[in-house]
Amino acid sequence: MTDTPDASTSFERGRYLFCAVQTDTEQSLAVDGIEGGSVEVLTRGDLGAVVQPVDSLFDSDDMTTVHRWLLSHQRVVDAASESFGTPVPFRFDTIIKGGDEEVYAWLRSHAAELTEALDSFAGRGEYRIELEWDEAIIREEVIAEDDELVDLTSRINDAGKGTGYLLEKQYKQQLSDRLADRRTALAQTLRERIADQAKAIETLDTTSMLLENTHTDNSSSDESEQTTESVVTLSVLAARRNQDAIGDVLSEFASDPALSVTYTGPWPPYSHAPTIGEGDQ
Amino acid sequence: MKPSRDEHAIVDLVDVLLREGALLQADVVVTVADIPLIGLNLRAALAGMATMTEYGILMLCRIARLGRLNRVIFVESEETEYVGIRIPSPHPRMCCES
Repeated sequence: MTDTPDASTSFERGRYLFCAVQTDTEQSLAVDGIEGGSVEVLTRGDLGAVVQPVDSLFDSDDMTTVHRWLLSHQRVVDAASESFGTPVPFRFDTIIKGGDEEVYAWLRSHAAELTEALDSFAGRGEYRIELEWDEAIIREEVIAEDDELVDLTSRINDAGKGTGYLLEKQYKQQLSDRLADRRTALAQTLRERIADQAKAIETLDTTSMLLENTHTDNSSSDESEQTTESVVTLSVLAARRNQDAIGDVLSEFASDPALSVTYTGPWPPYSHAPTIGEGDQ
Repeated sequence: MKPSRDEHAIVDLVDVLLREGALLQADVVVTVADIPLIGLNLRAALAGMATMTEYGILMLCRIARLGRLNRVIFVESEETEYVGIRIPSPHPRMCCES
């Protein structure tokens, strides 16, 4: 058995850590923390930790509550970004045990790692790009361009029932393979086209841990008619000055009637954030 | 094309906060069963399985597969050892097979 939540998620004193920033000025941030808590910037040298005093983890099985907490977390990190530039954003529910003294000690002991991360993020943001295609249109294109599929279609039409069944299975498998190849090639092309503008690109697994529990109203019956599918979702760490150049490339993709592109950002670099204190254990 | 930061985009982003963001590995971090991650209730709810609360492990495996804990080391013993994270595991094999 693991510890019970009551025993393990509360403690005497803690500091919820939103992000680390570059600043030498201690101050309060004019933004509400989670559940309206106060947000302070504690500094050592030119490093700041954006924290909120807490005495327990934020833990709930109510996804609406969790969603509200996550939005609050994001608002604080956004406010810190506006004031201090791109931060090192920490994952939800990262809490340093103790009070301000422990935060100061942590800043001191991890100054090199934090400074390196902040330097690598300076002037940059995370951009998220989702490329989708209309599978019905792409399927028609693939069929029209592929001689083997055209030949199989002809053989199916001429074949008897048993042979026709086997040929149809072969046709379906071949079409599926061609679509997978097209998807891979398209994703690769997108990566290559934006690579010059990016410091780092990661392909994201977009399986939602939260939205499937909070967005139940999107599964209307109309969706059964849709053939739009995700081709790839990328997280791109790029200089803010390059966001328009990336947008120009994406516009070219979006001009294809079979494709659509969602381009969001700049966000704090959550997907590119490092592990701090890896050598501590 | 310009990047957007509208309400819909932010709603999509918050899911990221559960599995992305800098990880802090240090003795100073509050942990649940030595896991410096989200709380037990939340983990269990996300997993959607009541047994998660009892074992508190499988969700971590899922997070590991999805997120930054992809350097998980599975050990068939009384404890399941993660890189930098050690949690008591009554059923380590379950974890490996999940």
